[in-house]
Amino acid sequence: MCYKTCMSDPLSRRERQIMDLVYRLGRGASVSEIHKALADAPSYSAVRALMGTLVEKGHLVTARDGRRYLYSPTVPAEQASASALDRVVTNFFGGSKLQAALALVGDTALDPKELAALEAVIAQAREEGR
Amino acid sequence: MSGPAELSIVTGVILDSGLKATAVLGMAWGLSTLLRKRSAAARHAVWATGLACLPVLPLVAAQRGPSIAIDAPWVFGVWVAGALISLSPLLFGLLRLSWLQRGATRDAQGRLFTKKLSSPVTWGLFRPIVLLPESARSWAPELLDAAMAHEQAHIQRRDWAVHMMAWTVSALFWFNPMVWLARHKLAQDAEHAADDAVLSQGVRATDYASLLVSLASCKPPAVALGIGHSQVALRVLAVLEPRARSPRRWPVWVLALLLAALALPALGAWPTWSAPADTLTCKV
Repeated sequence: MCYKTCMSDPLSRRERQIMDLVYRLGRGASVSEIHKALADAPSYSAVRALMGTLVEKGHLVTARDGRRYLYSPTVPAEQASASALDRVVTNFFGGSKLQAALALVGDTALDPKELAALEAVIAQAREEGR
Repeated sequence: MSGPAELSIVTGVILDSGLKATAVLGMAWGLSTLLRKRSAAARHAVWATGLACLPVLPLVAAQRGPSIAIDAPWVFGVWVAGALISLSPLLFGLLRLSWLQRGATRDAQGRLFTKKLSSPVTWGLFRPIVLLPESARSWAPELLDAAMAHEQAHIQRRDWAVHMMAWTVSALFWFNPMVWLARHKLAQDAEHAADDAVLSQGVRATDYASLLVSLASCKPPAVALGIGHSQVALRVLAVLEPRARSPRRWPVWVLALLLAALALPALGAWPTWSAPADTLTCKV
């Protein structure tokens, strides 16, 4: 449910590097290609784990190609740079449009554990007929 | 142009009332703690009165005249800069909202929608505006009604005017963290009060709680664990648990204003410091 909003999460330095490489390749990239191209690369499995995180965060999608998996960006390069600019503007002004109004839900965020806990509380209350 | 003597009086007045703001908001804190079993509307009234009283402090302090003066022009400069920086997100936000409103589209019922928001928002004093996110078009009708009821409650309660007052006051007293805390509490109680208004219209608590959760954005897993660390979580829990939801505010207005009328003149006149007569602003 939160796929799109997660796109605005800041990436770590490594994750950023990997995204840049995937964009530079301009096609589906395998873990070993990224591992080779990455400056002072960590282990192969660490790169695979990082790319797995990027898939979870909604930045990359995987497609099967024979025996290996290819990773490609979910957002085309032009659009990604536009959203990066948007992110800078949003961060700089601290979501000012929401501060000048009253928002039903402000720009506070839930982490997945909290989200799951809240959904459990709501399900429980629903069972009790509330 | 004010001369150096006036400037040092103004500087003294600002620092004096900034310190005394702590006492006023401390009283508001105490009163809102006493009212913790009452409705959020009642506590909101306490914080609103506390913040609205703060501009009285410099007016009373100014009566003390040259005795309050502090001869340090840079302090005044820092204060002006801080106030402008504190106000800038608000001013910029208002510009962006009016720009969003112009680009919004209307449906058959006259409701305004925009792609640039993820949550419904409301603002405006004389002609209040409710702007809905584009995704709200596909919400179940009862959820859209619940969201509109929340925004209507803000409008009826004049929450936006209070919000603007609180922002202005916290920009003037920006150097006192207690003021920012008070504004945070005020905003929180305004949301709880608007949620209470939705529930009093017969919207199912669990349905409304789901709506709140679905509007919240998500973030990567944090080290902090458990529930109740975010605004949304606090509101979901408040919506689901049994608690006082009365919209009645006048008894609190009376009580808070009475306290203010008793305490403010004495507090304002209380001498925090006095400049010795011989050194008074003559150093320039």
